[in-house]
Amino acid sequence: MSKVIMIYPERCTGCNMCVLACAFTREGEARPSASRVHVYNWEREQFSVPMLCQQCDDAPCVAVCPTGAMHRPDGTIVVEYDVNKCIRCRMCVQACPFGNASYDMVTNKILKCDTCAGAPECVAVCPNHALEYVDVTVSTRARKKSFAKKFKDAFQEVA
Amino acid sequence: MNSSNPSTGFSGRGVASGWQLAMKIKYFAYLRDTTHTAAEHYSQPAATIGDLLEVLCQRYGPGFSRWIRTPEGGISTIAIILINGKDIRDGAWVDTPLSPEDEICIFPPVAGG
Amino acid sequence: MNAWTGTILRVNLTNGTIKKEPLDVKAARAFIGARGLAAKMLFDEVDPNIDALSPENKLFFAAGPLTGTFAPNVGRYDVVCKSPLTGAIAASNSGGSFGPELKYAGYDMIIFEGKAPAPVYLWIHNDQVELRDASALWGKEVPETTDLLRAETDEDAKVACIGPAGEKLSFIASVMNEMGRAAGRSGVGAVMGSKNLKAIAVVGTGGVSVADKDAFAAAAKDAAAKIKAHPVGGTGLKAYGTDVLVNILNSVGSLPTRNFQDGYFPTADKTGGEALAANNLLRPRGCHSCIIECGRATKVTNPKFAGEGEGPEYESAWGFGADCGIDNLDAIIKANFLCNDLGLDTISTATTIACAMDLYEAGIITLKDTGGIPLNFGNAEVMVELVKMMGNREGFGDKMADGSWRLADAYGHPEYSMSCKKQEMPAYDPRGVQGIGLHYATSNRGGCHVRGYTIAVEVLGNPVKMDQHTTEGKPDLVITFQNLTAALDSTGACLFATFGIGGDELAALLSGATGIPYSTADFMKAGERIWNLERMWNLAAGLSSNDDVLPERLLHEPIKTGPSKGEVSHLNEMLPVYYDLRGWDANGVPSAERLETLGLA
Repeated sequence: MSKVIMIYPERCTGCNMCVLACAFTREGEARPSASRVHVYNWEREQFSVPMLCQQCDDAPCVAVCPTGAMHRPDGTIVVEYDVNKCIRCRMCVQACPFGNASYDMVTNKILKCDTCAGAPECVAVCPNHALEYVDVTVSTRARKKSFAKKFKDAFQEVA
Repeated sequence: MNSSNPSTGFSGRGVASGWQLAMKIKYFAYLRDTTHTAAEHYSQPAATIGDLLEVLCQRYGPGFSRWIRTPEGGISTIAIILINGKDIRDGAWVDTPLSPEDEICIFPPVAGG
Repeated sequence: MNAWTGTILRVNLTNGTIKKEPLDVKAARAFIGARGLAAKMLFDEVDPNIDALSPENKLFFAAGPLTGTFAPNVGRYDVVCKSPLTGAIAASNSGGSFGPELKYAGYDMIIFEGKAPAPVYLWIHNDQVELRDASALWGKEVPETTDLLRAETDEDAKVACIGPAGEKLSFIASVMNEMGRAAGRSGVGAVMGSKNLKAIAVVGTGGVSVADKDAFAAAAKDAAAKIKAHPVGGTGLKAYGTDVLVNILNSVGSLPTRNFQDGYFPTADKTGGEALAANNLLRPRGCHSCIIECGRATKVTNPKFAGEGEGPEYESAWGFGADCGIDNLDAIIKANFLCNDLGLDTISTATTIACAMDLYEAGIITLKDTGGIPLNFGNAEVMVELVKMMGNREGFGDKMADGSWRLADAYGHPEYSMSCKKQEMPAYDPRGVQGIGLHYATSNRGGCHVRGYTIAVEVLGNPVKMDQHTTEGKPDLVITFQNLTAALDSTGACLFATFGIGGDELAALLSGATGIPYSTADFMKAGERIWNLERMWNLAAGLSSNDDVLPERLLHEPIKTGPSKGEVSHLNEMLPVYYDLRGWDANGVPSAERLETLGLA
């Protein structure tokens, strides 16, 4: 597997269809808090940013996980989550610098994007191509990292 | 004011050169992306609105014709075509005859509310 | 429950009590939700003859069963009450994410009763619901109110509130949510203000479940595909917004100009969606679950009218534009921003200004009345200034803040008010488009286009084309649109979904979501039931067929220029046919048989 979900905030209109798609197809109901992708809206600026796991190369959630529940299978770039190995210590939630791993009390598990095993529903429903599922090439990865850095900087600034 | 181009019969916002009357064609929404003008004059005779639309689709290419033609090659009935402010989409409307003093408005399928 | 949350919040502002009540499932099935179900509850609970601004009025914030679900274009809610503007039932519909958030918090509806002794706001965090002091928020405009409330509650709270206009009981005050979305019409903001209720802030972390996931998902996918495949729903509205209509309506000679003195505005193109996209559009925006994205994030750099915000959509651009004889798009956008900030309905605000300009040019009001402000048509600076004065009830703005009918009537000339049931008509001239005039005259909330949008057929040719100038077939067309829209509004869906889907798809979505099998016929019948219920309430409130009228100007003064020159409205030919087709008597009263058929007897 060598594809990742790219975020294009400048195309996002804030409709939250990605959020609904994730929650509905993965957890069976339209419950935004059960989504692995979240859209943040700045109403004064009328700007929206979808946020979801960036599948970090050097992933803090994997590094910090004591049981191997958060893991990267050999040869893939997606960090996967094994609910059976998870002890709900939520260290991954603490460790992720983007807040892209969260704990869902309703289902008692960690929510983190796994790209729907290569067919991400959020990408499929996005009416504006603000999320795209693309090959990881040198250029897309550079682009991804530059965006990730922007988000990181922005969040560090407000934190 | 542009002068009429004798080979195409089109001219800019002004009246076409010479004595010949020229019909005015106004474009809206997406169509302006390819016409690069909101209105122009056309001095060569087009017998019917269907003929004129054919000329325009040829002149402006796929960026224009995609809003006017159906995928099957016919003329779309949801593009809004007005002759002198009257919507002519009824019956055999593509055969509606044109005269030189007509003003034609062409809208791609758009709506609001 | 599925689709519906099954719980209603009842908030008594007089004594500060908050109750959770179960949804009446039988009523929900028959009246669907949102506009329909709130109308049913208003019908059952509120005496139609009360003063709309008294504590006896009730204010419903109601989402529909599809609101918040994973279907396209279903993010809406309605604000329902008795209207101070019309005296009729008010049901103003808004998008954004407030309605879905209310559902995620666990509620289909909030009902506000009575009047708080001092300003309050309601804070809903799932099952924690409390009234809080809002005295520090009173007097604040909408964006500041929203920011302050978020600071006090939760940074991601969805906020619906009133601005100064609602506090000052302007009959044309809106309820705003998320700064730029409006439940605009019929003065619902004044009712909120009369209750000392400044705002509602809500955070919900729950979800909305559906009865049959597979059937619902299939229906949602089908609806989305049809909307995206349609050239209007799929691309047109996103590129140009609804303001693309300025040129269309002008080109067919039906763009009301200078307070409906004319139907054609030569420089309208400067105010259309094409100009907006070229000069001011930052990006399109969408409400919750919207795949159409007609919303406009816009910016004006011209220092005189500088600002950034939401809008304008077509009716606002027309109202502050052609109807005031103005073609300065920067000023139009600025006026729209001010309405959002002050909490004013753009249509009624703009057309009240147009009415004032008309009265001024006719010599009925003078500089003495206006405090020295010249109100000539075409004066963009004055127009923008008047919006501020109306929202704050300053100077002459105080006289204008209750709409055009009160203004014109105060000077002895109500005929200058371009309104139906005292609510201002929107941007389609009934002299140039016959069916829409019949709709304006018969709409249960007065002058309004979104309850029976016959323009789709009469002008746009969507899904079929009818001649705009004929009356034949129009009563039937109006009734079909009114019934369909009543049902659609009640689901929580957006009217623009109908640029792609219709009764069949909506019935399928509703069936999958609720588990109740709604056929298309059931769905349309629910719409007719809602329409007749609203009508019955209005009749009980003292309205009659005498109110199913258009301003005399539209019946007797032909359009002067443009393609519809010489046309007048033929309302009186259509109205008896409409009554008859509705199963109403010659006085517009629903027959006992029809009410029986609809389960309203």
